[in-house]
Amino acid sequence: MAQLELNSLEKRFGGGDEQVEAVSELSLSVIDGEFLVLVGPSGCGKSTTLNCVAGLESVTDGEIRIDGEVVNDKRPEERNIAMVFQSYALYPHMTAAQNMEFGLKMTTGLSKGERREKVESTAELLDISELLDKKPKSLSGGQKQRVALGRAIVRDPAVFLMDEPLSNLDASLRSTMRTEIQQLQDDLDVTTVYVTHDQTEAMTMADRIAILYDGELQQVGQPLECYYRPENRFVAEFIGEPAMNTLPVERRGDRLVGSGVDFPVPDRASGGLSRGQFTLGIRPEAISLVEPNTGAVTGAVEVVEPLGESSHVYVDIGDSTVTVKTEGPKSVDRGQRVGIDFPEDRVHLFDPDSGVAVARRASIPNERPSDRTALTD
Amino acid sequence: MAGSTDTDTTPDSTRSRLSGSQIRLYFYDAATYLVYALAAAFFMFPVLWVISLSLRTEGAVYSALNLIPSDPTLDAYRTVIDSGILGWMRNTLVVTVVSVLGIILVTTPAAYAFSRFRFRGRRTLLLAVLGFQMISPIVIVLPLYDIMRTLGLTESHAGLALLYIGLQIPFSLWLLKGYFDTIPTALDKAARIDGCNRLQTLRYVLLRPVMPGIAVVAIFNFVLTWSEFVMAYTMLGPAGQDEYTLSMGIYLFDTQLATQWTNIAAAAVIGVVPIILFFVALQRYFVRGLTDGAVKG
Amino acid sequence: MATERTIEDSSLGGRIRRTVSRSTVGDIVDRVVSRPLFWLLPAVLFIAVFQLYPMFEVFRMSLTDASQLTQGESYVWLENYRQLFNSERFRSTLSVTAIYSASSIILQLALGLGLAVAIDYGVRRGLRGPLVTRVVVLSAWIIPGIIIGLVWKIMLLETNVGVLNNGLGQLGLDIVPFRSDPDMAVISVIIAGAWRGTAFSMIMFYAGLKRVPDQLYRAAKVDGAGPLARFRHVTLPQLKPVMFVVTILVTIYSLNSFDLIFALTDGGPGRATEVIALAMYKTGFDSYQMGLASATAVVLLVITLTITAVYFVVFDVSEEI
Ligand SMILES: Nc1ncnc2c1ncn2[C@@H]1O[C@H](COP(=O)(O)OP(=O)(O)O)[C@@H](O)[C@H]1O
Ligand SMILES: [Mg+2]
Repeated sequence: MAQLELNSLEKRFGGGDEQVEAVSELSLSVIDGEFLVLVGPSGCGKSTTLNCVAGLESVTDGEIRIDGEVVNDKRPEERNIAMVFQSYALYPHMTAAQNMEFGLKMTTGLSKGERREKVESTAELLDISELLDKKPKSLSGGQKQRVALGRAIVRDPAVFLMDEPLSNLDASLRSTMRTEIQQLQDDLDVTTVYVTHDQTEAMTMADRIAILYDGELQQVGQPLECYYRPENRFVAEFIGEPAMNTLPVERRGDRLVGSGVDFPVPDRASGGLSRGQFTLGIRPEAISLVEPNTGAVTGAVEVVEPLGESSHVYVDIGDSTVTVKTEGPKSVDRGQRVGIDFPEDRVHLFDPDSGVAVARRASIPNERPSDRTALTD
Repeated sequence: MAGSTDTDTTPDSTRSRLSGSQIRLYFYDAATYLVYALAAAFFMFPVLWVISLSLRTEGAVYSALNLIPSDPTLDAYRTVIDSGILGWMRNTLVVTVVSVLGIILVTTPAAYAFSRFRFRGRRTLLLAVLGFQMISPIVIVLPLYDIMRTLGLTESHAGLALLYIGLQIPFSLWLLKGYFDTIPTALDKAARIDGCNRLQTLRYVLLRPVMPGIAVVAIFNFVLTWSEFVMAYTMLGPAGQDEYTLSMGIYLFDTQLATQWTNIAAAAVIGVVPIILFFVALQRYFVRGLTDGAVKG
Repeated sequence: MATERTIEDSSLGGRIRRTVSRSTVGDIVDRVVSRPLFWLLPAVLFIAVFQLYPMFEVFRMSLTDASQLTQGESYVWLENYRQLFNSERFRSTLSVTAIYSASSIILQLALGLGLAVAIDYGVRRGLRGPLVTRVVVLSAWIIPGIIIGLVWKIMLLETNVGVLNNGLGQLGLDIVPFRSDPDMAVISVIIAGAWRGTAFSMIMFYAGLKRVPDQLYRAAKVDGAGPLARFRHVTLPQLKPVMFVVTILVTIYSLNSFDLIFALTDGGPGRATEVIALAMYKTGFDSYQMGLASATAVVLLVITLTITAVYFVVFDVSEEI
């Protein structure tokens, strides 16, 4: 149990012309027992951040504190952390039990019996007792990941670091393991930093998520906060599936006008909007399809992707395509002309240059995002 | 002739073409077997024939074509063993084993470093290693002799082993680095988290997975070192006959025994058979060393 | 995790002390082992002493009149090279080496490719025999060169002991002077060399052939390519990188051949089979002219490097490296 703090963390690789800034000015604080998900597209510096916390990479600048103590110069085993890797990274020549025991052997003075006891109780917790004598080669992906989790848990660390631990699993196993890891973390109550590039994973698992892009922190907050009140265009587009639609618009009097778009300036935003150009953002699930020539825009249906309960409808509105999420298997046909309308309170406006949100929702509604679409129809 | 035209409209012609390609396949199979037979004959005959020669009486050497000697005898082997060939074999074994151990001991950490560290000059150093691998040791045998003499390493098995280590490092290093590269670095990270420093990581975590590569390097170098002649001849030449390696001793036999063909043949067989057995047992690893080393290089 | 333990206090203290000393000693070890030099040093030393320095020395010595007989040496600069290129012996050595190497390379590459194709074909068709053939051919390669030389020497004897001449005699033919006629001797050396060296190109080509995906052959078949066309348009292009490596290595081996020839003909008759490496060795260790011998070695090295460079251009491997 511990608090983890990053203060202006910087990490640069290489030197001279080829220098890469993988993490810049990252400040973040993870409270005791919290499950923080670090999410962002691949290459944004998530693993580098985690490696710095683990002590696998040296820090270029800034500091890392675990329980108030600066650990920048400490070796990994002195930081009281444990880590789970995407590729499991199990030692191929050791059995599951030996894999789990190895860290204890190297870092503690525990006797063989004591170590064995710890391994066995951890294995029980993870329901892998019968796998203990198997080598990684004869384990399935899910079993390997459990052993890898066990190897971290048995160390009884202050902080868990997990680097895309589910990415190598197939879809169904991934969702089971998702709940399982959440439950484990809840039971053990260990501060956890969990890295993923998958926003669904981030949304469903996290107490809070931190969104990273190009080495820079974009937003930290509860999942729904990030979904409903994104601080900038990157967060808005990254969180949510399918991604938020964005349309260039211009303010003309009290209306926002773009190619085919004509929409009143939302009330809550009118004060702050002095400049002329904006990017309008609207989530596919917030849009409703209406009769042509009513609503904000009218266009022709390009593609319909039926997904069962809902469908994704792609509507061509001239310069761009708008994605709409509709209920029901097939509400519209290809080529059909439809009107698109969106509730004023779900429109986001971003500065077209900096991407900073100039108008977003005032608060998070009570419903979960998936229920929300049901209500808009 | 008309039947084999290339119209494929009637089922009849289809069938005839099918059987035509069948016939062609049989023809290729037969030709392949012929190649195997010729190759086996060409490459086995000298060995078989020398074995046959070594089992003959002095008088039977002139009926060279009889592969199975009419009156086989082990006299030649007795003579050769009395002349101390087993001592040479022991010398060769000692030098070979020490060299192979040394090569592995020196190469493994270096290969680890080339695979796991990114440091300035790494590429240059790797290319230099590759370059030395391309240069035949014979080119530098003259200065090597001077160096070995200056260091007091001539006429000594330990010295010869050191020399072999020095000469074989580039190839082995290159090969072993390739094997290290196939082991995911995530294992290193996991080991670090588990409290290993780099030494412990190599010892407890990487050594076992890289063992097949080490085996390939060991077996390959074993064969090379066992058969080596020029360096041994140059460095051990001035020493007493008892210090010779197998290749040297057998060569010496040839110059001393002049026309005692059965004895020379027996010596050759003794020189060849152990290494062939060793090779046949482990040829899989050997072949891997040969192909991986050159292809990665 | 300070759970009460029934183990005595001293042991707990010991544990703590161990942890403390571990971390300071650990830090020092950590620092040392995180420097690549720590790991590379032995290998670098060995390479420096047994490869880099001798390489430098051979160049330096080639500019001196160093001799095994006298102590001192003085720089004569290019005198050795001048002497070398003016000597009849060296010119003959060069031409012998050229003939020997060119024939060896062509013969070994052709035989090796043929055998590799036969083995690959057999493996793909599930025939019996490829493995045995492979092992037999490779055995020839691992036999010490000096012994190969001796074995061939006995086989080629120009008496009834020599199995080849014995056989020819039974057919009513004359004795063939395999080792005593200058031209025949060169041919003998080339064939014995091929007996030994073919295995190498065979196994390399075979490794290359194994990597050609079956799909490619099937696709070519669907496109109507016959076996020869498939070999020409699928196999050969896929083999190009291997061909490059094999050609370079076989060339290096051939140019630097020593032990087999040393035992089989010792350069004779006369100097008919005296290749550069042999000439160099004899100049150095029999005539004690270390300077001249070093110059010979340098010429050998330069020839090797030049030909390798030519291959790089001819094969146009720039896109593959
Ligand atoms: N060892 C390294 N040397 C140089 N650049 C690196 C190294 N590790 C990561 N990077 C660079 O740092 C950036 C962030 O990488 P990483 O943290 O692995 O991203 P993520 O885990 O978010 O996908 C990338 O641009 C990557 O190329
Ligand atoms: Mg990553």
